[in-house]
Amino acid sequence: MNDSVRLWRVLIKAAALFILFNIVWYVAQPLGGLNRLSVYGALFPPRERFPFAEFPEASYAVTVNSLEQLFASHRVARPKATDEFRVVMLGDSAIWGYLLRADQSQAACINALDLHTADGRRVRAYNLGYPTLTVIKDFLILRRALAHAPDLIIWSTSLASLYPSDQLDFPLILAHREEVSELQAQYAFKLDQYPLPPRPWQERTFFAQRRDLADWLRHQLYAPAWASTRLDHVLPRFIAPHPVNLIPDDNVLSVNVLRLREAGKIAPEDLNFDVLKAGVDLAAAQGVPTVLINEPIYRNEAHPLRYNTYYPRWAYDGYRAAFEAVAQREGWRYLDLWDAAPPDQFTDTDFHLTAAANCAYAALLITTILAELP
Amino acid sequence: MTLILIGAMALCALIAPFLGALRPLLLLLASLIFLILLQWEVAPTLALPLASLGLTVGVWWLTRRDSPPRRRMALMAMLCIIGIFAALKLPLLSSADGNALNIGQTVAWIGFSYLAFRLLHVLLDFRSGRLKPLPLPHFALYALFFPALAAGPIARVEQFAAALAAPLSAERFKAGGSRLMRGLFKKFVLADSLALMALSPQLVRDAQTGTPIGALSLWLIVYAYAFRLYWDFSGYTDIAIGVGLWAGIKLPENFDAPYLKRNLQAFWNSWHITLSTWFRLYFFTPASRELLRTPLKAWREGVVLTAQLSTMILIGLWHGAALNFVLWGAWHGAGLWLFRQWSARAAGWDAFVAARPPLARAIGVLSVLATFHYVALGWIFFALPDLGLIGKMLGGLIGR
Repeated sequence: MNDSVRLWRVLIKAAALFILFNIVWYVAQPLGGLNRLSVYGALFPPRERFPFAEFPEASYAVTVNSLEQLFASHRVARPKATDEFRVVMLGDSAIWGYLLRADQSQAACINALDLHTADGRRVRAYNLGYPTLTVIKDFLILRRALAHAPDLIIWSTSLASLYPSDQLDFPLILAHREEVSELQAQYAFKLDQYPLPPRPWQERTFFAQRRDLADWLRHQLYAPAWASTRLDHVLPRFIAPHPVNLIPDDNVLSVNVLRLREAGKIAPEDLNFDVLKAGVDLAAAQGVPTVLINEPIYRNEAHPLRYNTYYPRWAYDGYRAAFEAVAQREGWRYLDLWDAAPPDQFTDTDFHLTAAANCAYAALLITTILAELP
Repeated sequence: MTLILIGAMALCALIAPFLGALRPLLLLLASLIFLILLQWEVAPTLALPLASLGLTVGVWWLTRRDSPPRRRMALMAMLCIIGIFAALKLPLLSSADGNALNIGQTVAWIGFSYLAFRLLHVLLDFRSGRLKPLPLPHFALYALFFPALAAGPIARVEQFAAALAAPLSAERFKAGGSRLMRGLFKKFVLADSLALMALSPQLVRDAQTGTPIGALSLWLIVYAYAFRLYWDFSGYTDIAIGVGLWAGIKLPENFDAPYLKRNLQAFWNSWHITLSTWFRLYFFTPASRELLRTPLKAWREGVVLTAQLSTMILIGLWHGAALNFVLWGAWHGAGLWLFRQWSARAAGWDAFVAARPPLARAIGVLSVLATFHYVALGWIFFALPDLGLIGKMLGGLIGR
């Protein structure tokens, strides 16, 4: 046999093996099972918050887009103590603790207070926030959180989390598009971006899922570094401050919210309160109360048109009024804490607080809620 | 980019043997192109690849004919190469990335660490009258052969010439392919994955030591570094050997299961074999001989200790001119000497153990573990650039 024939045979065999492996992978879809396994909580301490990494090497974390894996790695997946009053905190980057250490998040601040309920149970808060402004993501997380025996859900939102135009186009949600379709069939939420394009068949092959597999592996491999450092987020030495000099107009910073602007006001049906209602009802069906929070924002009191870069006054005031009206109509536990943090304590955006202000706010939040609980 | 370059190298290696007598010339041309590409990726300049070629041609010319003036010039050339090498290893010119692995590359001048040691070997053999001259294309190919440019191995010139002259075997596709695949898997799957949990200066700075789980994690981080380094380096070697096989040139082995060895001496006979052989031939043996001519000869073990310490410290300095590499070399030099003392006194114990197979197996396993841990602890000196971090890491390992 000459050299070139031998070379071709090697190449053909290699290609055939690769195709066969992809077919087996396509049928078995092993990532689903793999994502329920995690070294966190088994061999290493569990994560205090979901991994979300812009700079993986420096933060000892990698962004994983499987909610099953996020939960499998999280402290909330640990068994609940008999004397524990389990508080689950949902929300965006403000809850997650962007530009803060994990032990400076609102959940960690609440735990540091070592509070007890009136019946003597120890209050333990869990940070299930994730840095994207979408309540659909919170709803997906809430559905899974209910499997971990919460006693109370604190769900923080802001106007930007409720735009029907901006709910779905995030990697974490696109990774769960089949579940979104199921929810849509059940609840018929107002989602401008629905239906999502169906997942092409190629996405089920090993070749297409190699990145997800690598991310799963990387997430596990960061466990010793996480256990040694407890760092999961890069904290820059210098934080570019959020804009204080606001643009002199009253537009909403979202191209798809133009219809709100055209109407000149915000009505409850313009926003995804339907998702909040579905979440509150789902939790209530399991006997778990939910407290909805309108979270603090930076406020420029002097500007005639805007509160901050995100929100013009007309839109935000309309949103607050709409939230109040819906909460009253639905009988929700609702706290409007939009002005509960001093304006000079915001860091890089109109939502993120300094560590000290974050803890002060968390203390205010939990004591207010516990005082109102039956 | 690295994978694209490896793919291009593999392609060149596959094509070259089909060109018959033109194979060495095509391989040499490919080597020069890859030298420029590799250099361009790190620091875009033509001057350094041209300097590599110039040095190679210069050494070839110098060693073509033997004469006393040429021998003196060879000595000058050696000093010149050592001088350039030392300058490049100064911290200012070496890698600025504290988390990068150091497997002998000199960032400022791609391939120089290995080229220098090939040329020094040629010059030393020339001065001792052992060198067999080669035609320029073959000699240049030996010095600059593209699979071995960035991470070795350091072949001997007569070994390379024999490999180049050997008949091409059809088995080389399978053998080279399997070696290449093994290397790619080691480097890009195993080593790059372990890099996420392996020891690094930043990780030690961030580590909160003093807790039991912290100590356990730190041990894992050290183990991860040990295996990352091994799979990274031996992966590159497998890639070089695999691509070399496809080109019809068998490069020497550089690793032989080093972490499964029962003592430090065996470890050093199986870790970066071509470099340690180089130092044994050209430094340790002559240095020991010279030391035996000094008053130190009265204390024979003192001669061995001095030679072993200085050899291992030089191997450390080959990686970079920094105190941590000196400490790493001293750690291994001392370890080798202590092992020699032990083995000189343990003949009775060895015979006792050898007569009892179950005990011998148990002692064998314990020896492998002890040797691995000695080497793994040595990697702390190797990986961490300052004494404060080394101290923090060593303290953290015992929970302090």
